[in-house]
Amino acid sequence: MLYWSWKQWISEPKRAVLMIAVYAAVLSLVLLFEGLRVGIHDDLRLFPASLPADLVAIESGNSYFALAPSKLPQLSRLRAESVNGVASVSPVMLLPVILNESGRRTPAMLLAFDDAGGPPSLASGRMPTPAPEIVLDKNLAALHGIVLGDKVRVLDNKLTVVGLSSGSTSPFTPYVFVTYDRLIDMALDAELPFATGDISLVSALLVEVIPGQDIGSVRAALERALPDADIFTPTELGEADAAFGDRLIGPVLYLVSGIAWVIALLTMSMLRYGEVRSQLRAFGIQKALGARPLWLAGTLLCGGLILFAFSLPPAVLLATLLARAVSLWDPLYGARIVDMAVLAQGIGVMFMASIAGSLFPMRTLLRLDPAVVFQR
Amino acid sequence: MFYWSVKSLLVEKWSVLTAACGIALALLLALYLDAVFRGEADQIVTFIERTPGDVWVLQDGISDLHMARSRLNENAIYAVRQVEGVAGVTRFLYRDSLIGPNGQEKLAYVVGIPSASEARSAWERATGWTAPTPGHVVLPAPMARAQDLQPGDRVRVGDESFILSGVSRGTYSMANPLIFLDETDARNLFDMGDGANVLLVFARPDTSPSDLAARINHEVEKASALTPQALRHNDFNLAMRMGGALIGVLEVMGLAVAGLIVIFTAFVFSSSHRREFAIAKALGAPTKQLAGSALAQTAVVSFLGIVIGALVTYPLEAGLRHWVPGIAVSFSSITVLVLGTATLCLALLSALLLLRYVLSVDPMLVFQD
Repeated sequence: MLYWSWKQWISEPKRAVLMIAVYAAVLSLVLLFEGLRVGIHDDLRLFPASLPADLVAIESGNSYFALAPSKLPQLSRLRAESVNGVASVSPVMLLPVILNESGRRTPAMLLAFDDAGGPPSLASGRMPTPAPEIVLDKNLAALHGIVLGDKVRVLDNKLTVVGLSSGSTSPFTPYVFVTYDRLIDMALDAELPFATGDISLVSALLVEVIPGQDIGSVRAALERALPDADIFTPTELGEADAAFGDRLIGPVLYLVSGIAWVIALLTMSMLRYGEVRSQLRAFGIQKALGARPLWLAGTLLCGGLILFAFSLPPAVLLATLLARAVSLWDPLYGARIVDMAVLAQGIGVMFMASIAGSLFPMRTLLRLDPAVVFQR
Repeated sequence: MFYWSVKSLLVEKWSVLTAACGIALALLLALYLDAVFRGEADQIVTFIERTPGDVWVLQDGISDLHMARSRLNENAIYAVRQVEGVAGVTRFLYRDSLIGPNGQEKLAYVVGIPSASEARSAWERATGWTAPTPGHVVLPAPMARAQDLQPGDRVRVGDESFILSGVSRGTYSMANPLIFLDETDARNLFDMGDGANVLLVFARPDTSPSDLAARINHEVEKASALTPQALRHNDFNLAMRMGGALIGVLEVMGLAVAGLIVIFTAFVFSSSHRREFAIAKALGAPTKQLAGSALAQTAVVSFLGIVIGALVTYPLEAGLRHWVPGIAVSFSSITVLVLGTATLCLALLSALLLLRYVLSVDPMLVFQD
């Protein structure tokens, strides 16, 4: 059955190549969407999960780091530092801003840091000082065509870009970093009531635990000492932000993936139908020789799977190129194609579409009159 | 020859229909993401469109309502009131907040509707939305439905709890659902004793909004004034740009897939009708007619796909609104037209590639078995 399908397949090499091209293009779309979904999830998780702390305190009732910045009372740092087992406490402040440069406007998350919590790693340049300086996420900078030494306007303050960070990308809130001292200057300049009422200078506290201390008991002690705060590990916050992003954009991407799956199914049906139509006489001979419906279905499946197997490598390659095109177009979107989870999930759904689509011409074969052999 | 082309297509109706559906779906894939971001952008600007006011005033350096936090202090508000041409000023609180039970929160924008009865009634009349009384909250209808909330139920907004007094229509989007609270409740929620997030300024009859915005920008140091059109333009474009790369790549890929499907269909059709082409050639049919016939068949299949794709957008939009109310979609007829035309052009270009195959048919093929 497989041999017969293979012979049919190679009997018309031009058609076979064209079929592979069509199906590979469709499969690459399925992979691209899966890769985008995983990429967005990963990027949202990465920065909060990599915060240099054992525990993170944020506003009570909030369980997200960047997607919904919290505010803590000014005195919470002092209270946290007095807890037994705490080695150090570093505050960070988050403020959503719009970066408006080079005729392009992008939402970003301004993060002010003191001792810790700044750029996770620098791709180029250096850390900011209290001077009017800023570090931008490298992908955000690429999106705007900003290079080291350029000046950007944030909340009407001109800041010099002194560094580009990596590990701080997110399609919704790429991070930009200033020192706490710079933020306080900016707040004073804006004449806003920072540090009182609604505008707190503390969004989160990064807590280091003394080595050897039990993190669970320190966490419980912090919960008691900070009634306005909830305590999380960086990993928990990363997962919460990623889950939040999934809830936000997940339905859209799942629906896009669904449409791509239907296209894959229909394309396979169309390709196999065209193939069967051109091989009607050969199928007629097999029927005349006593081929049963199961054999015919098996042949159709084998043909579909051969097409799937040959289309898969170019599909992965094309999806990788498309992911590259997306990231060149908008560096904030990083699709993960060569990722085991993406490939496994993508191959799984494409395999199902291939099997279902390949059986589409079955009715034509069942109704085929073996006498077709004698027709000219 | 044209009659023969159409007749041949009718004989292969299943192939034609499957290919047309493939083209339609490839087109829909590109249209769908554009519709999602367009629908989202439409919803995001709805508050700007419906709230009455000639000039919007935000914090200096801020020119969006969405994805930004504006804060105006009392000095800035006082300075705005003093600008010549200002007839009146209404303060609004507008801040992002979390809503819903722990672990299942959604991001929403809380609007504190002025407590003063005159401003409140004017806003209700102009927008058609109902402002909640103190202690109450108004949620977008899809949000209340998703959480199975009925009027009288308690709703958690930030770290406070309010009673649901009703729902609003046209206020839901994935990234920017609007929650209405009374100004006093919003001030308590955000711990905001004075100032405002946004000011709505009304111009005197002899002052144009754009002149007034320019005057405020010139005279008030810590504020940024925009006309409603400018603010709407900023927020709409911000939302659309967030999906720009995805939409662009999908459009290109949608076109590429549609083109490949057309090439394949034309190839299959030509190869299964080589004998007919050979007969036509043997009978002396001119090259122009053969080429025209092949192009006509491609055009028919592509056009059918485009029409199916365009028609499906109507039930798809209605269906998505009904069954997936959490996603605001808005298919744009201009995008449908542009993408449809591009698909047709690409299909005809693809067909040109196959013309050599059709024109190279040997008339002697008629006599071969």
